[in-house]
Amino acid sequence: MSVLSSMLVALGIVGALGALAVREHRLVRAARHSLLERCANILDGAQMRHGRDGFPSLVGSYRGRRVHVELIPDTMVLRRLPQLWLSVTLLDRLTDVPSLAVLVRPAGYEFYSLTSSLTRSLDAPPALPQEILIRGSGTGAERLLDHLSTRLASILAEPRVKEVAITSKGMRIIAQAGEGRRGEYLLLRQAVFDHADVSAGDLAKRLEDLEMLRSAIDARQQKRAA
Amino acid sequence: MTQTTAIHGEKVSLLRVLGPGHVWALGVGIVLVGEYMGWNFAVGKGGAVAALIACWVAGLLYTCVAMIDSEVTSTVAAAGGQYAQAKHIVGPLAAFNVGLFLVFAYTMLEAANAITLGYLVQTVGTMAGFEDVHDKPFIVLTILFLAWLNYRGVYATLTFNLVITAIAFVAIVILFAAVKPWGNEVLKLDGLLNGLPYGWLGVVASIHFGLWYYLGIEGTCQAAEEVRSPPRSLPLGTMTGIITLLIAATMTWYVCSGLMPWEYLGQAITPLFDAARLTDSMFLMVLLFIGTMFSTLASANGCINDASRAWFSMGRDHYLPVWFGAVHPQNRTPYRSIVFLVPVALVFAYFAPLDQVITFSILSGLLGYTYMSFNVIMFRTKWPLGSIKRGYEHPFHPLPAIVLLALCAVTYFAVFLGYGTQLVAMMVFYIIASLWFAFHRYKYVKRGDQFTMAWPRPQGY
Repeated sequence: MSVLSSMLVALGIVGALGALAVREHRLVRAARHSLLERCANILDGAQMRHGRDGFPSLVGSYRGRRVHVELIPDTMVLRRLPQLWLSVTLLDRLTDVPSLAVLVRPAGYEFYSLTSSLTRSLDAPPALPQEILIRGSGTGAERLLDHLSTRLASILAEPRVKEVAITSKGMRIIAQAGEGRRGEYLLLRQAVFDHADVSAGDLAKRLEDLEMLRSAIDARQQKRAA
Repeated sequence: MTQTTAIHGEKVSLLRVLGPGHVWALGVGIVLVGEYMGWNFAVGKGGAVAALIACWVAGLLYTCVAMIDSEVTSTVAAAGGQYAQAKHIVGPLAAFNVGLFLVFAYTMLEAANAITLGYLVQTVGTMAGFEDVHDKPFIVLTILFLAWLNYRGVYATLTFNLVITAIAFVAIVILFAAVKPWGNEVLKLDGLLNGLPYGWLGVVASIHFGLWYYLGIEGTCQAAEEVRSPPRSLPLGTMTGIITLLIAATMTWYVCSGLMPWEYLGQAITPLFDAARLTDSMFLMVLLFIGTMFSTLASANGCINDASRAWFSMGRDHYLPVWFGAVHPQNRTPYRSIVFLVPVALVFAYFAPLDQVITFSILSGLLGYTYMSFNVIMFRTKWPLGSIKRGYEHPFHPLPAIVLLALCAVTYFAVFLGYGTQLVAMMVFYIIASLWFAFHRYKYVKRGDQFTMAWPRPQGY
């Protein structure tokens, strides 16, 4: 076999692998597209969008309030498997409510978190796990935390929950939807998520948790007004 | 059965499904690039026999590293590996240094991979009749292309990660079988082995590059929480991984030392590919070309990813300007860190020879291993056995830490023998960086946010 024909064989192999890679890439994008499909029925007027990375987001309303559901791939990890986060935001004007955010297992680089944007660190009440970072803004953040601590504890009892945040614009829960495959990550640093499609039950649970917080904040507001 | 944990990273619902075989496969997969380039500089330091001894001594060093890392990682399983461990066990200055060690070890390895790839393209291009082909554009293109992939965060490769490792590993075995190792027909070890040309001092000097056989095997310990039985699987998987690498390294050494005089082998950039060329078999040449390409590309890709994440993490933690802690709004990658480290890798890949680039990578890794020996002693002192839950307890403490420290000391001496200037330059760099951190940067670090593990107060505090 001459040098030139060997090079042609090598090029053929590279070309075939390239074609396989493109096919694989398309399959992965297609799999990502459908991750929130089972959740669309929960929201009224649900609209699905897809980002450049192929991950979907869902906009709709739940019990008359706007809801934004998003999947956030977190590859900002160092010596840890990539994570796929389900972010559920309930948009609702909460007047006269200080910002408060609770982040579980903080590592310092949760780019999707609201906690890092708040300035005041608060001590964890006894009802909550101690390995969490709590931050707030405004003088009423401690009182709001005390008021919500048992409800926050029940939400955080689910180990997949990563962050609960409350601001004057609404509330958000971020929870784990999937974890990257170890082999792909360790050898090639790829984020491949298996069985990461979000069930309608999962989304309903997060929405109910947000509604519970909303009701507690409403009750507090009414009590203060009275 | 679902395992749940409230404190260990994000591994909140992972099944404990991995066995020793998985740990083995991952360990070998990460390190195999070391067989394709870099190890042979040990031959140049003390001759072929010295390189073989260095390979085995470095195996002992990595056994200690693996045992110690298994224990600490199974406890501090939060993100960041040694960086997070240093934050919790030693303190911010140690964490800053460990973060820098990670960044430079990976960036230099990335540069080394690009140099190897450029050289390989140049060699094959020359063989194909393109005499004027130059390696530098390919070095630059490799780094820029992989950095761009990382910037975009695209799913860029096939899911053939274990397959490429298997191909690279099988390529070595096929080459070994093809040179008929049982006879003197192809291999000329009788004529080529020349004992220890520089005596035992040469053996010590070659230990420096002996580390290259295994650099990265400690990554297996990251599986601590997902293996069915950590006390059994982690040491078994890691040790069999090291044994496999020892066998692959010995086979590589045997083939290369029997085909090339040590003066050449000690300076070769792609020793296995060169060995395949000397067999005069086009099939072997293509096979080893593919093996070298795959292993270097996969390694460089991982290095850009890891170095940029370490830099990004330090930015987010205010150890570096927080500007580096930005995430691309659409690609969701640490784009500023990726872009910032590109010229660093380019400067080293473009201007420095391969052996010096590897030396910088090894030195950063070695500083990390030295830190580990202190780290584990402090860890056992502050949180003795029984005070916190450990997934794995390494045996014979503090013997592995002492052996590791002693071998690190020998390796520093080995580096000093051949690359004293680089050793001093690197130390001066880390000292200046530490002074900058301690006297300027530290005031921006929020100390209370650093400790995120629900551990009891350490003993003596």
